[in-house]
Amino acid sequence: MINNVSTKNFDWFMFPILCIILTVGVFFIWSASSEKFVFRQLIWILMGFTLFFTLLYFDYLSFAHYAYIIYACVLSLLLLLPILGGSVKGSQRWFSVGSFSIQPSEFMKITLVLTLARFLRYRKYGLGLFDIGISLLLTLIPMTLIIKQPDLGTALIMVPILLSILYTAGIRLHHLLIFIGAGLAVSPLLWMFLLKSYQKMRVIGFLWPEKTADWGAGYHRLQSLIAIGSGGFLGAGWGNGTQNQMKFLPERHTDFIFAVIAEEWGFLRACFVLLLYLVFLTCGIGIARNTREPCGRLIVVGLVTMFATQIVVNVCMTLGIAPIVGITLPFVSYGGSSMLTSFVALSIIFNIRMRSKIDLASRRLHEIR
Amino acid sequence: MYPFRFKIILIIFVMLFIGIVVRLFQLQIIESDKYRGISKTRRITSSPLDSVRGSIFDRHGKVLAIDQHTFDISVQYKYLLYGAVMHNNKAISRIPEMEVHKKAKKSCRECHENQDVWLKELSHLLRIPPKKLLEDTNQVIERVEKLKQNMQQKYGRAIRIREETDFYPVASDVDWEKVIQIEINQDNFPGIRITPKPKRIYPEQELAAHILGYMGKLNEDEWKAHSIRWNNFILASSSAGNDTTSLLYDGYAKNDTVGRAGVEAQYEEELRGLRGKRFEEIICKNTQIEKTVLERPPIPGNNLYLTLDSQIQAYAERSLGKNPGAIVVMNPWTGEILAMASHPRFNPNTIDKDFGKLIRHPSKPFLNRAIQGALPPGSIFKIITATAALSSNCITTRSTFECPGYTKYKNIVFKCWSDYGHGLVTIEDAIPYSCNVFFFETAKMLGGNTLYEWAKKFGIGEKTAIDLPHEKRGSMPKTATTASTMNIAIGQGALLTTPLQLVRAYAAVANGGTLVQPHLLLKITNGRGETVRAFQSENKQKLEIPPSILSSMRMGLQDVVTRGTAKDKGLDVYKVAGKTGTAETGRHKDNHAWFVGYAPYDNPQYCFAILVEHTPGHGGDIAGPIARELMSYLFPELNEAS
Repeated sequence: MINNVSTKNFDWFMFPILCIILTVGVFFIWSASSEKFVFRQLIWILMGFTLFFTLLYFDYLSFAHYAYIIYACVLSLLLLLPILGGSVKGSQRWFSVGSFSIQPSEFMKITLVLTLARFLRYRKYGLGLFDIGISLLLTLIPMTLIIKQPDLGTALIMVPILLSILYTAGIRLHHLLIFIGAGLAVSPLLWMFLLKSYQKMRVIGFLWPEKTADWGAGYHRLQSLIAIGSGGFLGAGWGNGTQNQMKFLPERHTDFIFAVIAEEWGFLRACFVLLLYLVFLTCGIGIARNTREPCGRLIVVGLVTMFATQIVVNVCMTLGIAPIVGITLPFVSYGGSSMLTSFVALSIIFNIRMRSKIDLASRRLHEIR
Repeated sequence: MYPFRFKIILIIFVMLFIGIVVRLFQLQIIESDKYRGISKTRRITSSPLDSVRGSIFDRHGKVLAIDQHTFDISVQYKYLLYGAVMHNNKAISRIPEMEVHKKAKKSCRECHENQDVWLKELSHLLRIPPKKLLEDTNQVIERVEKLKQNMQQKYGRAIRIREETDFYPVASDVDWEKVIQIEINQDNFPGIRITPKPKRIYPEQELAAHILGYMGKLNEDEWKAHSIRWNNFILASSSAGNDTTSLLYDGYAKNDTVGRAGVEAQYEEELRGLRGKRFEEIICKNTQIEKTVLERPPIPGNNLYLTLDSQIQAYAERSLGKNPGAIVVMNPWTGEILAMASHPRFNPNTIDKDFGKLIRHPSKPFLNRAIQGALPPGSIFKIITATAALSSNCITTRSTFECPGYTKYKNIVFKCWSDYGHGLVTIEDAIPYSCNVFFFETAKMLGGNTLYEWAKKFGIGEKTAIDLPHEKRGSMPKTATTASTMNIAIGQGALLTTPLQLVRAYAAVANGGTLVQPHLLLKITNGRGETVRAFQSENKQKLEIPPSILSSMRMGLQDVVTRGTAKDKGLDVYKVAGKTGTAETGRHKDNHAWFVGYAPYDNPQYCFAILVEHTPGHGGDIAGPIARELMSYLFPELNEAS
């Protein structure tokens, strides 16, 4: 299998963009916290790259092959979490294995993409109601468990993933619209039964910031707005942002790292970072388009949507136009779990790209011989 | 398969990113100034710098009140709470939240390990038992915990509130040797903050306590009122385009002390000075935080020189002794108060400790009887009745009335103090012997209105406008009936006067008819010793009394000492002229004894009033010896002659 893969098919355009994004991220973690965190982040990146290149050697189809089993395993981990997991900031998201902590909800995102892709890979245009129903079920079960953790952000990412995969798999447009409409109609139930009071406060704080401007829901948002707004066109310069350095901004090196970038780098360079991300996503969609293998293209669409949702929601959160749910900025925010998940997802995308081309090429090679 | 659908997904991504850039543009370009403004105010912090309160001196420059530096010790809430929990105080356990903390004591002992060290160390160092250190903090803990609980209920999770990070006082008046001990062994005292705190010291202890007053903490409402006033003042002065330097100074801070009584309160504005400010701008350079400091040094308060002579004040207080009452000594020409004693007294140095006890004491030690004790003047008032009658030509110096020991008006018997009567009496004898009947008859002819007008001219029933707070007005009733006028004429009835009013009235007799302005302020000097302002009397009234009448009054007052109600008291040696008074309260053997006068009679230097409240004796017998003792101090060179 390894011999079949040519390094020529490695995406030499997407990879440098990733490296630039990673570099920017490390520098701003430095500015927002300390050298200690930079060092740790570098270790995470190193581990990420190792994982990235290791996974490239395995055919993604084998992942797809075991998708249901992986799904069952991760789901059982999620179920076990309330019994075995530790608690961080009042929510149970983690497993402690030695000095490491594992966050099953992060893996669930990728697992879900693999499972949905596996399930829908050979469907023809116009998915049947059965297919839609099963996909919905596959998404809703882990989603409910994750909301209960509670981790609203990760759970909500699963919605765009499901929609994009269904869309690419060939759902009828009116089915999709009915589907979205039904989802909106059901959301009040979600509000009443699933959300915890602090999550409700956050949503309320987002919708009516004046009412909760005191300590609590509105505080993070306001600090972030002040940071971004005071950045101006050219920014305060790296390491000179007051909101950041004086620690007014909460979660500076994790969830709100984009506010730090915007404060210290200003409008122009923040737009540059956004452009990098957009190119990154466009490359991803391009890979999906050029992949003939149906399972692979569904996986790529799902993973790219995952990245896109994370980027958009995280940035909108710092800009005060999305409720504050704990979603990190891929490849930039500090944190091992998020970094490794992103690398695994990216590795699968690269994997698919390398094998989508090689299949045709190697077949031709065989024919010639 | 469906390449069109990929385009749609890509278009959705691009649209979302365009939306983000638009929002970013709005925040960073359009509304940038607004947020930059907020960010800037964050970077500048200002902290107040305490000023030194001005000192108070007597007329010869002897220190009566001065600021001394002591230190306050406060503890951060976290440590305070844990110290209180460890000490297992009963008062706290009422709060359910505290139960959790108590349980936490066992489960996470390690994380709180050194948080109650301060309690043991501090109580060891200061030799105060831990219980006492925590005494006042129970309320604080209760309040903060309640607040925290409310916030938690409001937001559904534990929220860090500002009060939790504050420091709260546990000990005050700590001297610098102990503070140094704490500074050296910082590790033993985690979470402890030392703040220098000026403390008001009154080196002469109880001397002139009523005049100096005392200091007290501002309470919450007063502080709010002050800060609103201060802010309005700043707003007004800046909008009027005045000098804006005042903007840079601070008004009162919470827990400031202010003058609560006496000149401390009267001259609060002069004494307190202006608090300075320290501005710190924080600049971030390459992830380093730097501070630049701009300082506006505080302006110390002005010093106060009083007209008091601490020597005379001490004499007056010694003469008064343990009698409840008052002595006022005034310069009859200028109105300068040389001494003002009132008993019972208090010690302004220990006021914090004693306040509760003193305020409830039945003898009312906070009452400055010289200006706040409004009592019937008794015979002291007769000099005013006499002046009124002579000046309005109602009687002459030759008018004679017979005193059989009583007189009648409409079947009411008005008794003279002597049951045997004084026989035929003219004004010459009426004043020395204090014959009531003479003044009853005079009052019949004089009428209530004329007497009222003259009493007002002498300042009876009016505030003297001395520079002390809470002066009593007394009361000079505008009488309707002749009977009540007769009572007023001998200083009884509804007539109430303060010792100071009487001193002023007698000073007018002594100095030839000028009603002076009694005052305590001599001058105010600033920190460099320059005189900022000296006292200027704007309130001197010349009474229109013929000199002949005044001189016959003075003759009468001299005769009181030589042959009248105060003879044989040894006052004649000191050339005292004065009048005794025995004001009846209506109860048997319960009088107010008065002696008001001046000395020496040929060239008056001192005008004085002596009051002894609620005494069984008569004015001459009770107040006379006190006056003699006072005179022996004032004129020591004449003592041998007696």
